[in-house]
Amino acid sequence: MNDLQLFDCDVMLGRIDGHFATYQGGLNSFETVEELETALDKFGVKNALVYSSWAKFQNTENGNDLLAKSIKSKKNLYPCFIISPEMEFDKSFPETFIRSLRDNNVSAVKVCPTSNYYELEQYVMNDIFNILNKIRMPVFIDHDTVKWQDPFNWSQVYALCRKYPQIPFIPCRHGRKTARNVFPIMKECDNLYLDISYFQLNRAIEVVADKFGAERMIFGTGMPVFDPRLPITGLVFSQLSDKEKALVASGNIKHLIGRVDYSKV
Amino acid sequence: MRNNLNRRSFIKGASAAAAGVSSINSGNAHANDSIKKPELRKSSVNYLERTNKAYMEKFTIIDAHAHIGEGETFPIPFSYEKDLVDTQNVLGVKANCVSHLTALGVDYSKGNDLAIEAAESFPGRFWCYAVANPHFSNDIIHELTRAFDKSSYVRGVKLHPSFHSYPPIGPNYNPAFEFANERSLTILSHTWGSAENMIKIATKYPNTKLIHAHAAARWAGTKDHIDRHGIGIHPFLEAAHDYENIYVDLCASVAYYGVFEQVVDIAGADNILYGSDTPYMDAGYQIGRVLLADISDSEKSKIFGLNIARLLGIDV
Repeated sequence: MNDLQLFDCDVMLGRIDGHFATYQGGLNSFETVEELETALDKFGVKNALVYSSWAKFQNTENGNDLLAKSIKSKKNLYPCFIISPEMEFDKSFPETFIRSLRDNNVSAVKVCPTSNYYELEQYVMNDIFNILNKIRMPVFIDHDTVKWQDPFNWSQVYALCRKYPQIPFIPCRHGRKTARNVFPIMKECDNLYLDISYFQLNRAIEVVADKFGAERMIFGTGMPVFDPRLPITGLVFSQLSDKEKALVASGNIKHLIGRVDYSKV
Repeated sequence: MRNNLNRRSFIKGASAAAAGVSSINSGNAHANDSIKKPELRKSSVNYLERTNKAYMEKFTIIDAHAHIGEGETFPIPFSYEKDLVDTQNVLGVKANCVSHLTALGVDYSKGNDLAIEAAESFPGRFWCYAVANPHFSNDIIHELTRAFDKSSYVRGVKLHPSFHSYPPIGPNYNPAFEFANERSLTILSHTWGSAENMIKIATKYPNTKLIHAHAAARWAGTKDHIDRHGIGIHPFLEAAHDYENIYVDLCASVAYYGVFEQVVDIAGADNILYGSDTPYMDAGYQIGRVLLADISDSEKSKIFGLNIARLLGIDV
């Protein structure tokens, strides 16, 4: 029996009724924590980083708060807060910002520049990223990509990796044709990690393990919008050692979220 | 001559006669046009167990849509025959049905020969689609005849209106349709453009079997959903249900969760083909769509290999 202990880095909780345009039709949602847990259990996913659809599409602060309350009692569900530029303009920034992350045991955050309409340039969220850099907070970059042709600004990713070397950056859901941009950045910046959920280059997982090490890949699915079965079998059938598969399945993300250190701020 | 019966009309008529009613609700889950949330089907099965060899050996897996070779639009690692056979061995895939990327690229005739070479180098592991290029329409009959005469591993015809920037059923393809009809062949096309196009060709050339590439997997689960190319997927699924000689294959990088089982419900397992588009895409990912699906093993068997084996005359 395959006993990979999967830790899904990219799961959404909450409805997305009116936002089918964002995902070009993908409408599935986990309306309750129970639905989410049922799905995770079904596919042998033991742990998940969860973000809120409300935080991403409706109201960041309220959505993050709702998420934290919804999964507080769930030891295997880790909150991934959405962060946005206006957080820096809160009168009590940075204290409120830091307290919100720390009190809710947030060990990863996500930026959504496409759906939230901003450029991920260095002048945006500079103060926020400085804090995240001090505490080594993993940052997921979500451009609402559905298909490999969807644009992904790699220059911005490169600049962020260079400027904030203590932040593990994980671009979400980029396709096979991004290899010629991603690989050079991974070579130069060891704080760029690869989400395998949609990176379907032929035998990509082995290629990345060979070039950069299995330590640089993170398992994710994009549930509930996207089908988890593809990345699951993509990892299971990859020609890595069991040890390497275990790293991709859960070891790497556990290492990254385990390094978050709030004592630095 | 293949029977090209419109199954839905037949079933409606037979049911109506049996039930004595004058109109039948087709029972289509999407009879109305409103957005319907895909149903998450519960199951007590441990899905990861389905990746074990013992379960996978139940199926004869033949990849209905694959390739060999390289192109420069993006790096394609492990794309030649020896590496593809390695991947087949890992996944338990019996064979890939391939068109050569050179045939779809710079030289259709050389590419067709390269595909044949690969098939003959690894007997039984590759079956070939011969590529017909509409910009060399006068050569199509000659090239297809040459390829089919050259090797018994050549079993179908591949069209690529997208790469060739040509209308899916434009007149330059007529020699290919005629050739396929005469020999009762399968034509795989990326893509047919519309279900109407497929029905037109399937009806005009009733001995052909037509496969719409990439159709079954990018559907978002609503009747009116159109993809980024402005193509509605649902009509293809209905056409596959209605026409015995219309098929859809599954390969696509995008898969929306909870939808595949509805694809099977609408199109029917008899007219769906597993394909991975490897090495354009990793077959290990693509196989999960069917392997871990909430459908019966019988349906999986058809989709995984029995259907394409029947279409291409592959002995399983």
